[in-house]
Amino acid sequence: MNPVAVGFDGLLALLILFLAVRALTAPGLQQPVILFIAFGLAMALAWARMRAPDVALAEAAIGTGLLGVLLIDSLGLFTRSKSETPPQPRRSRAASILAVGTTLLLAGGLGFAILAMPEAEGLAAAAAEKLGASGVDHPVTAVLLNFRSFDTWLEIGVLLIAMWGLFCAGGREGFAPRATEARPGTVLGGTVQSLLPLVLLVGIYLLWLGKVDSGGAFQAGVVLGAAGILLRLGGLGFPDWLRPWLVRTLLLFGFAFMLLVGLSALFAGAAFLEYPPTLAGPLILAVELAATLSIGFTLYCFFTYLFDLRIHPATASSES
Amino acid sequence: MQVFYLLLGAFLLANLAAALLRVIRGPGTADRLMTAQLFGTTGVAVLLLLAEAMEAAALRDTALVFVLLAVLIVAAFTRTEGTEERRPAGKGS
Repeated sequence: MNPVAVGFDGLLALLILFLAVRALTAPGLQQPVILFIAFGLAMALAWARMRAPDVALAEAAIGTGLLGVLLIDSLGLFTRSKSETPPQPRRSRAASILAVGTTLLLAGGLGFAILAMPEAEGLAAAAAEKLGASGVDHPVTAVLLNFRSFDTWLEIGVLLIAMWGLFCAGGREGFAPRATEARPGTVLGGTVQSLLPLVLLVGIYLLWLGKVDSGGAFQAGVVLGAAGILLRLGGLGFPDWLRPWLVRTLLLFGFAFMLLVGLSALFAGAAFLEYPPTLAGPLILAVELAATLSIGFTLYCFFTYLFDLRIHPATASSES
Repeated sequence: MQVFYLLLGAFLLANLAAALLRVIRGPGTADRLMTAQLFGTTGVAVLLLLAEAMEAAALRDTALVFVLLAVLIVAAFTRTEGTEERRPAGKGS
């Protein structure tokens, strides 16, 4: 290891630590949000240095891009509301002790679980050996969509549950189709127009790339969702033709499709979500396509829903 | 050559650390957001340097996604400020 690499990594580690501490302790809401976005970027650099480009890509797309947009948009909710100063969370001693206690307990439990694990060389060798039968060439995609596709299926379920929670909290009015607003501004409108095809292209590229290199359904879904968010920011409301049943179908599609694939494997006498090696490649691509569609649409709905609630607060009766 | 790339990367990281001062001092939202954008741009440069230094081409895709999504943050920001008449920028936070 040469000293320059050590210096780079040390500087990056210090930056991350500083950003984390400062994001937690800075006053107000605005500064922590921007520090958090910077923190995500620094984390992506750290993952890149650890030779985990898949994680770096996910962090860039989800941790910085999408979460950044959601946080900045939520910031608008607070600066707009009645009070001049954003609401400061009340800090009570009991709550602090509870939070610290739970964290320590969890950390202790995790540490114990790791120490109590039997010695093993891990599954990397076993996974690499079976890579040829997985239907894809990139080991990360093979693990995510073949060897451990059950986990991936449940992750898509988590997104679905989050959307469900939003429906429950905000009511269905948030999804009333909105008329297209007047162009918010020439610069923004032009940016959206010229950027949209590029974003769509990159989304499809990432999906296709998952077979051979870092990429895949989640990253592609986020980028496609970003295309939708861009449209909403550019003034295009939730379209008319997206009837409620169609919205629900699109939200459910990825989860349901994987369930269907898994169940048909069960009927064929294999394990749940076990693909036959000859069909694995096309099946994985189909599952990824379905998942990308649903992930992208869910994220678009997240944003649009919250954005519309903020722009038209009259429909949000649960607020205040 | 790889050492040179890493050295450049470290220099850019130091730039980011200096830019943090603006995030913390402010005073306005725009100042802070500009810094976040600087973070994005510099971060992309560091990623591209790392892609060369570590011979990991996949990092270029990460840089590409960064560039595209950074625009989104600015667009979202303009919508939070522009939807109603601008109020005078508050001092501090």
